[in-house]
Amino acid sequence: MPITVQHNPFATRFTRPGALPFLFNNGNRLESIVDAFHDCGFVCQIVGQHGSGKTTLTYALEPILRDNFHPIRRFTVRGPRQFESSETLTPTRSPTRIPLLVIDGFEKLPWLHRRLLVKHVRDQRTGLLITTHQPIGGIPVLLQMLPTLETLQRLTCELAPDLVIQKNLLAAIFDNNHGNIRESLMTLYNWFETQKTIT
Amino acid sequence: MIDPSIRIGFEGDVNEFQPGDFLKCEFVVGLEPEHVIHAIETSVIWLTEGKGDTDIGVHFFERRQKQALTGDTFKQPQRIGTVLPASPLSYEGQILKIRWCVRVRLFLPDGRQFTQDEYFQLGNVRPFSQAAFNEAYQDLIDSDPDPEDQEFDSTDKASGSGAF
Repeated sequence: MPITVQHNPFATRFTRPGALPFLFNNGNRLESIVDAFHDCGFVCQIVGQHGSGKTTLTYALEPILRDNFHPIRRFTVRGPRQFESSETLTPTRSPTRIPLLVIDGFEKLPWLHRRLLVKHVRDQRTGLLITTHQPIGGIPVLLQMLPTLETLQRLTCELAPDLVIQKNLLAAIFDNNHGNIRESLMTLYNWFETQKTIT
Repeated sequence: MIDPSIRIGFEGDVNEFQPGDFLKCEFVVGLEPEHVIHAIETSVIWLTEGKGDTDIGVHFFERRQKQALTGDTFKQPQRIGTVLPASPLSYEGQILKIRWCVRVRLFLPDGRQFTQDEYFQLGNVRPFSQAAFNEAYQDLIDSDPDPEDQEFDSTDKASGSGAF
């Protein structure tokens, strides 16, 4: 009989930004966020605490943004001089599309670099979508992330539809992680492993 | 529009292998007349699963572009065969797991991708169990240190007899 592989549904492989869908808890839609981004002149910020889904949202927006932007360059700022980058290539190029910079952790850049970068993208008519923990002055806020327990519940259902998790356990995990969805999913990973050990 | 389907099966329905074994499997791609395939990739990979970043290693890889595909290509099962390496072996840890799989990925001209993974086990490393570990070493953990072992105490700098 062939062996069966039991995946931990909360492993980072399944929960990392890009692997998870972005779930709105206020009836919003990705298309309306993209419309708002256009209305702001393609320069916007997404604001929220650690693990609130900022990066996940930028990944969810990317397929729609490809209609109007090319190339899409993604930078993750780890510190003043530390960053990772990647570029998304679209299968067909169009001269009407403009470049887009997606910068994760924008607030970690030095103040002067931030000012120069924003001036540069406005001068060059380049799109700029940033994520930050605190609002940056002079850049319109596209969305303020406010994750709720309901967000965690829906994500859990999405990741493990057949898994039964007590509601009060989920609420305790959410509270203990101060509303940080990413850390809550890590705790659920541990919980899942303990359940496997018990069974 | 119906999405393409991919079904992967191991020869003899066996998905446990040892290093050096020859892995043989077949896959079937279900396409509708309107589907056009831009490229197809087949690979045998290992990847880590756990709380950290996912590492991935490619053992076997083949990409066929649309020029190499005909209308009849997918009317019959496609075969993949490779000799499996000595490591890394499949492992089921608590914070890290190593998984092997056969991956088939279809690329459509509009940029969409369809991926199917079929997992298998390489080697037979037993999964880590804290309970089994405790049971096996409980006596040693609970007992007082053996006086004869003292000479191997690495902190015994004065005597210079530290083994480590």
